[in-house]
Amino acid sequence: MSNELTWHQACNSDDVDLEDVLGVTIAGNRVAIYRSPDDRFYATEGLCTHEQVKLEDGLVMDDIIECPKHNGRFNYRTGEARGAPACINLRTMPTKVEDGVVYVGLANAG
Amino acid sequence: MRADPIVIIGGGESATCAIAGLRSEGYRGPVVWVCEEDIHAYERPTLSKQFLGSSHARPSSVIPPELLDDPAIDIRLDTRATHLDAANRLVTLGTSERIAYSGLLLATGAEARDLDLPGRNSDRWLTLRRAGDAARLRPYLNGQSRIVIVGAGLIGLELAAAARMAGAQVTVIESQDRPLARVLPPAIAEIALARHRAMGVAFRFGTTIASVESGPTGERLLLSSGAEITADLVPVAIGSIPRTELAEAAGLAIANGVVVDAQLRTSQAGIWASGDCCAFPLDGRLVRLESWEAARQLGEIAGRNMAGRALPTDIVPWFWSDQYDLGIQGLGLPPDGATLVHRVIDPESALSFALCPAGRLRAVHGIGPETSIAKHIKRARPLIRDGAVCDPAILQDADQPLWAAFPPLAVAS
Repeated sequence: MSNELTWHQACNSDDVDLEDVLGVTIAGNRVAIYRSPDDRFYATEGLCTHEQVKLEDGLVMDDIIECPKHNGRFNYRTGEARGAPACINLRTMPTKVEDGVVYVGLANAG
Repeated sequence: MRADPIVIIGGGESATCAIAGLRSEGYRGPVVWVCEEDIHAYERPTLSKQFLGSSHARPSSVIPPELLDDPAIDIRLDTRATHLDAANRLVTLGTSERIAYSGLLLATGAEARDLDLPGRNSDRWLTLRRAGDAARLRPYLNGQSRIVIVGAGLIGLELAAAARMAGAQVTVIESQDRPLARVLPPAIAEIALARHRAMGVAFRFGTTIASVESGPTGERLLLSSGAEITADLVPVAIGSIPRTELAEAAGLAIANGVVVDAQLRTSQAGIWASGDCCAFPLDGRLVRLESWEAARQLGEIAGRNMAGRALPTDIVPWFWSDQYDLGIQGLGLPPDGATLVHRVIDPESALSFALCPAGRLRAVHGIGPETSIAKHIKRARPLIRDGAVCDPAILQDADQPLWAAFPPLAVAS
């Protein structure tokens, strides 16, 4: 496995409101982009680990994303599952913002 | 001397959450878990939805691994509690085994209400409550089947959607003049109805089955309207009845469910009840809920209270339903005489707010593609909990931001 990252353009920083989430598709994967109340960007896999529901329709509260379907909760900064029925953590990805554009780093295969 | 165990009766979500609740409060003593079915507690909502179209042999288990691995939890599958002696704190399992308990939870759930029609061929009729019922339904989900569903409630319409998506010919018979009358405001239910009709589901409202004639080619149903219809399969989805027989025989108070107080204690010391089988006080009424989240929440509260806490059942009831790609959600209990304020988002998305006479938000129902309305429902939760006063003119005006209808201090974000 390589640790090399490829940075993919995800969205513009003003596409996401403070304390909100946006869904994007990057290299065929659904990815959820979060903007925290302290104006930092985070990214996790875009589908809930419980029943594959799109997290972008969920509600962001502080550093928690609540799944739109069964109210499973995750800390989107760490990916940690924080409330039943979710018990499997979300994968997180690094982000960076350059010139108002949010990039998500995906590990290169290989 | 070994302490008497806590006995949990019922093998569903509520029982599971109760045991997790006991452990979370530090109760480390023995638990005897009496489950009527022969498989561990599983996800039931999927039985009328995705599970029907999947090839999974059984739905996912809902038991956290740490409970399965806990040597002090004695799980008895395929076992019935047959007698309860509340005065002496004894419960009988099966034919003879008697267990003295220190505390007991009734999480016996509900069973599907059925129709008693003479002459029907029971092979062609079913109710849907358990994984085995869904397994019986599956072979009929194909283009050759004529399926007549009795009841246009959530389960009936979820089944209608699953059957139509599999290509079956589907008719829904409903005694009332509209679908989903018990659970949704008309304006929300109409959007679901329009989609079912567009998908080719036939509806017969305001009618019931007067008689049945079984034949080799199917069940001939004579309707009260005089019409006749033939079915290969007749799923009956007309609600559920709480399982109270054990409690009733033990002399516990019953009123459409095992009556409990705000801490889920029954009328007998040492016995609690939670989930679909219990009637508990909420907003000054005694209510019985049949939804996944309430079953879980009440179970957890009961378990924690059995471990010594005194937590109240101040939940905000919530349910969801999936029909085709439409997602429906409801939050809160609309009070009698509520004013309904409707907000149209687009032709297939809408929200309906139930306000009490003083203008406080008490419930919200919504429909839309997939989970598109979920965020609105979630944001309403603290507002309903706080009884936030809102401006109906803004609520119904889709050109104005929804949350501007509430005073700034109460806005959720």
